[in-house]
Amino acid sequence: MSNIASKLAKVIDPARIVADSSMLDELSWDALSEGRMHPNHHPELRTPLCAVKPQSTDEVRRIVQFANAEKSHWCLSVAVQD
Amino acid sequence: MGGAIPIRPSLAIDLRDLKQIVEIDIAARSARVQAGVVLEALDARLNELGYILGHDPWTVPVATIGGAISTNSVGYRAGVYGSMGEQVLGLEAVLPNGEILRTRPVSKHSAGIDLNALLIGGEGCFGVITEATIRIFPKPQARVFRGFLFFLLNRGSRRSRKCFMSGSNRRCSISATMKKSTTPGRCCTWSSRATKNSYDGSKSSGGDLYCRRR
Repeated sequence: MSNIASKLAKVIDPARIVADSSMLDELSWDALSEGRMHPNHHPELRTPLCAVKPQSTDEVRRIVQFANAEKSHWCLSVAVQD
Repeated sequence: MGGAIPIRPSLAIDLRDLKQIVEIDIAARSARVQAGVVLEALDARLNELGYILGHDPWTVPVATIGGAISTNSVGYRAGVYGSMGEQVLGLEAVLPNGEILRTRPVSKHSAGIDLNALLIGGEGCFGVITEATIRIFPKPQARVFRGFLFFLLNRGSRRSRKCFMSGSNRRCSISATMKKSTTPGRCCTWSSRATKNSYDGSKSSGGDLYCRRR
């Protein structure tokens, strides 16, 4: 388990934390934007350090507060599907 | 797809486990659902009650309510029902400082700032949407979809404008496929031009007649 995942496990149920590489890869790129990006302005993508799957609003709140406390090391990314 | 992408080492929040349909209020014509509810699942539930979800992008089997709102997505029937953002009545979201924001699920804000607008299309920048109250619509008696191919984009555009001007239930939208351009400095070019016409309404209004080519 990565450093961030082990820290996160202290504020949320570890069962909600995903460190599987194929799952993280799924969350690291956007199928819709991929073909529309300008070839000369294609951002370099980074695989998330870990993913978390909350099951309540309160769990989301705890995750956001955790990310705030650690923001010098990583940013918050929200997975959406359209 | 159509969402934020990580360009720095990040923590990803996947909301697909927030998948509860909390309440369907037929009298208020609204549904309160968690952000991870898939559009197709909600639409199926509404269909059982004689109602529909007004938003139908081609990703309807996988797209979630939270994702559609965060990207202010547009579906095939957007000409009739509007974008996903236009169907939002109220939102619950976790703000960047950890506070929980709940906006009142009302169809009209007579005074004050509409905070929903801050989150609609925000791609998660201003908060994480966890729950939404959205409009629902009666299932139409008739539904017709037609597509027409035009050789020039502006001809399709002119025809779409005529559709919008010809009646309240008659809607169409232009869709064009793109391909990578061989011209240096250009990302893509139009490869075809088609209008997608949709009709939702009563049988007597003549959806089939409207959709025929003329």
